[in-house]
Amino acid sequence: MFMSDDKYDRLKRIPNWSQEKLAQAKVAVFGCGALGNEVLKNLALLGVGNIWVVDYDTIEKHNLTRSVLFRESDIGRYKAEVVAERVKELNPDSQVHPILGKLEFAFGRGLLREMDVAFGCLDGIGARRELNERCYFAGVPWIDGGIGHNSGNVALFDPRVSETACYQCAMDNFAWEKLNERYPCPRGYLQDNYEEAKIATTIMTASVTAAYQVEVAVQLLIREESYLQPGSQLFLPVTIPKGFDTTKLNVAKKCRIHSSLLKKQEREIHKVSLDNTPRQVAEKIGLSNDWELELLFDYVFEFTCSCGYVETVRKPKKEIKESEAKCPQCGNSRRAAIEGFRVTSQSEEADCSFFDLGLCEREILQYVDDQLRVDIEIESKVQETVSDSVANRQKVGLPNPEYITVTVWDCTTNYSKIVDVPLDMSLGDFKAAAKDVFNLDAQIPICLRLMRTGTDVNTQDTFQTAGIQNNDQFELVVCTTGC
Amino acid sequence: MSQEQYVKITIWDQNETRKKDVDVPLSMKMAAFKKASKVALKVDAALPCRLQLKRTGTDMNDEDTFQSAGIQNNDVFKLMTNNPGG
Repeated sequence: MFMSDDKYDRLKRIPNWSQEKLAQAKVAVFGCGALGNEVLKNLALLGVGNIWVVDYDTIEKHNLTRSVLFRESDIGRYKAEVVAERVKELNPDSQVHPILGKLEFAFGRGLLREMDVAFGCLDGIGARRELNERCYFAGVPWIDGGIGHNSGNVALFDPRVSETACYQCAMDNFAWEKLNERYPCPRGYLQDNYEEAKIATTIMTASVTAAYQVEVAVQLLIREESYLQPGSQLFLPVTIPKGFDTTKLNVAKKCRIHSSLLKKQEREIHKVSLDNTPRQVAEKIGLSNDWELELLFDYVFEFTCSCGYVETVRKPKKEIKESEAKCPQCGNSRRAAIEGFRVTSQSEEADCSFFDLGLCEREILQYVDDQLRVDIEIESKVQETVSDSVANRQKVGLPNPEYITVTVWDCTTNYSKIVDVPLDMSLGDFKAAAKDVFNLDAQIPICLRLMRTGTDVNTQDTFQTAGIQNNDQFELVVCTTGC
Repeated sequence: MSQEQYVKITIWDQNETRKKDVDVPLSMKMAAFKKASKVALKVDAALPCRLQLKRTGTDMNDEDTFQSAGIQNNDVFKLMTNNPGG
């Protein structure tokens, strides 16, 4: 009997199928929870060639009931890292790139522009809105999935069909209220201890919903259009066999996302380094002295208190917790903040590196002066190193017994780096190297905290003598005790 | 003073297991109707929902009234859960 050696034989028998298009496709999956697991499993089995997975979270026990790619032994590890390994096991033809971080801070829009399709497997309105805005900037269609315990939803949003609704168009009063709960008035900082409401979900709703998300993606990748129309949402009842229902979402006349579509004409993009400062780049491009660099978010640059204490912050406002607004010297919770969404040639931030401004690799920004608008894309090797590190471990299968893999987070916990370190390396040397990687001033006193125990390590110890384990995580913390 | 005008409509839940026939003032906003429908159809108030007009298959805008949305007598709506989980 004739036996086919072709792994994709049964797929290739589908009329008008193109395995080549799937093999060449670039897709990004945002969120590696229940939906993300199912979407990734499907993409791997289909032989989708290039997959980026983005998540900042680690695996908890409750994830195991709905996540086909997670194992009990993965608890505490990064979801993105684990799914990357498992997808590779399922199908070595798929190249998988894990990105550890929040989508708006870790996945640059320059990289997003290269994607054919993006998947929203997120569990919050804020993250969905963020992904929508970025996909509309990048001109990339995205497929939003949402699940409950008895039904799911799939919506397609496609910036290439601008007369159709985007996610933000379809946000109702309830969604805006939920979003604003997180950043309460009057100052709009992140509520301390805020958590998204926990939703009951099942693997059944995740499987059905993810299956349809991937079906829509395959249609887009192979046929360049899907039966689910852009700006429409599909309702998938799971517990009651009622059949699917589709709703057309309305375009909001005043949608900011749609009005910004005009900005996205093709222009030359200058590549710059993450280590550069805005001033260096402005000079390199040849802008006049009156330039401004438009940032992606509102930033808090500095807190100043009536007691005289001045604190440099330089963080996106949405990342600042209400408690951080309190003066550490006198306890005043109403100290003034210098906020803005631009760096100008006169501002102190003009001489900070892009990295220090919390910007990631492949992010696109725009300079404006009295005559020009110039786009730049930030380049760096930091993220590549993270991906390479994971990929290299996959190649050898198991970690080298002389080495262990650890993660180190910067002081803002927005950026991390996964590294293989020799067991005999001193923690002091490791701390110095980590400060260097994150461009921290050598003079700033920093503690190296082991997140598993919550204690600061003794820098005289080696990884071995301190009992550091594979996949342990460290955090660089500004030292307040003079250690 | 002119008398408030009403329109007779039907609202179903997503699974079509519960329905209500109601008379609604034409000046009522969709956001208020959606909120009231959640209570009437015993849908969890904490879940986001969409309100679909069956005749057109479109989502209703919160700020529209029954009048501005062109709702007709005997129109049928469906309250669909816009599941937020992932």
